[in-house]
Amino acid sequence: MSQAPTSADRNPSTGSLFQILLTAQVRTLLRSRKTIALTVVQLIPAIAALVYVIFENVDGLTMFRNIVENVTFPFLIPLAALFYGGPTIVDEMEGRTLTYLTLRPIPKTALFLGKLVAGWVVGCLVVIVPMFVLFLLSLATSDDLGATIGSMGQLSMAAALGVITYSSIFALLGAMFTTSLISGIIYFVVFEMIFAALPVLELLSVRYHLRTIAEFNTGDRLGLLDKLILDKPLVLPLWAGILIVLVLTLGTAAAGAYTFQEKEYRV
Amino acid sequence: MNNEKQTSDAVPKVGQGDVVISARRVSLWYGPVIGINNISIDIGQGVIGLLGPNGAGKSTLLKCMTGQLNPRTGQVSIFKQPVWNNASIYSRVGLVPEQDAFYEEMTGHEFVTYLTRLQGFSKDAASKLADEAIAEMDLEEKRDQPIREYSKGMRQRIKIAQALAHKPDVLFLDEPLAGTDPVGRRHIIQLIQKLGDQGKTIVVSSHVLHEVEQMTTDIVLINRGRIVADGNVYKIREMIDAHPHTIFVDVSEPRKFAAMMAVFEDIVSIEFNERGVQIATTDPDACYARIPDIALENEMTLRGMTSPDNNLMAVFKYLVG
Repeated sequence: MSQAPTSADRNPSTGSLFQILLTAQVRTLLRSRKTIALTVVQLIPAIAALVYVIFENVDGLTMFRNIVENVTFPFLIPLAALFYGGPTIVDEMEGRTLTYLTLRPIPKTALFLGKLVAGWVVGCLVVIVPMFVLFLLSLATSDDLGATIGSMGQLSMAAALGVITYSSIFALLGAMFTTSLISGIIYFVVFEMIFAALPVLELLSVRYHLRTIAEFNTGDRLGLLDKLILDKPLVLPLWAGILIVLVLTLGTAAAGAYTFQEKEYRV
Repeated sequence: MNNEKQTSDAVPKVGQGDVVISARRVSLWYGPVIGINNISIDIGQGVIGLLGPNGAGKSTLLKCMTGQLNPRTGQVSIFKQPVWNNASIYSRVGLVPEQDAFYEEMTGHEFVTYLTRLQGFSKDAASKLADEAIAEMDLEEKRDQPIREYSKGMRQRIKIAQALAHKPDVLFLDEPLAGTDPVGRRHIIQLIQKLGDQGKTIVVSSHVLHEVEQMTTDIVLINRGRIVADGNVYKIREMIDAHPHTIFVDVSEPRKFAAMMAVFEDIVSIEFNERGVQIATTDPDACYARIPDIALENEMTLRGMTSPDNNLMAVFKYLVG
């Protein structure tokens, strides 16, 4: 007969608790209804592509890049982040379960980050797996397999960075305003739609830097407004794009964790 | 014994043994509304009832004590460690929150195991501790059922199980009997008493006075954000000298008995009701001694003698009302 656990069987170190929380959260998110719904939404481009592949004579690589550039990056990645990053804390508050978590021996910063990282993991899976399905479809009609595979690798990295950056921003907004959806949508409209369309201000949008990382065609960046003040598109090097996005991710994640630690949440 | 006399010099203490929870000049307000106002108290071991009407500040004080809220002034400490933003203290603390909130899709066992794992226990150890706590709450048969299918009483019990599973030294219970049936209620009361007897510190917040009365005599009365009185409920009653003490006497000849009692100076009023004679006295000890003597000497049958003044409701009404 086994003995009853005692305090000696305990390891309440932050690292250990972080790992337990992260694992449990990933499992919970993977089984959640929103993951199923979002996966279906993320698969829509692949389904549409399948129709094209069957009925139209298109180049796979071109189709793949067009869909990813015009649908996945501007809309599907922020959408996934809105559902996985924003609710990091807000879900627990709205479900009034936050009390259970904050009364465990895990620091609030680790609690916030554990839940955020779980959102990153599942968000990346939900975005990249359908992208991979799309990629497989494009392979069927691509003339240049090597270029397609290389492209997929780079786009996956950019998509993953997009998910974690947007998620961190939305999580910060959720921690600050205790509502994720409205604040997230306002952010998205202002920064990712309006600013992203304006010269120089576009640098404030994540979308701009993701385009840099994904190396989407820069030739068509020069819009009507840009032409008023720029002779050629504003293009940053790849490393600068990655650096900016990483700094933004770490900065917003740290700010979110700090906000969560210091703020009182009246559940 | 303390009553509206909190000063920086004399901090009231309730409970037995060493001080476990300490609050010093704790205030918190919500905008212009004061939640709690300059509360200082020490709490030792045993079961402590935190009592007050709705909106008195009980939950605010409990949330300050558990580190959910950060007092605007003052500090709360448990085992001499500040509570706010000090996660390590929660290894020794359990909370049964008031809100009826759960991870509804989880089974009872998953819920308790998950939260116990977040106390630092391995999966197996947490599972065993969850089993023990669930058994303690008499929920074994329902342990693998999703919480969304639980009745209100079962939800309350699983909430207590998650607070007990890691065997905390300090347990806070906010309205622990809400939604429970009489059997479950009795079970929870006995459990709370048992934990108190084991030397744990149990703070029970409630506005249902007769429930707390069954758990403990150590109480803290709170109203309008301030501690109105604290200590042993019977001693609190003694403290209220100005208020007459009421005794119901069930006697065979009530009118004759009343006439004989009326001659004494300590008798403030005499009324008749369906339970017998209701006497109000300013000297309860003398009156209690006198009643059987008068009945005996005058050959009256004394069927009973009860006092609502020794129950918590009476004390509560006197001090808060």
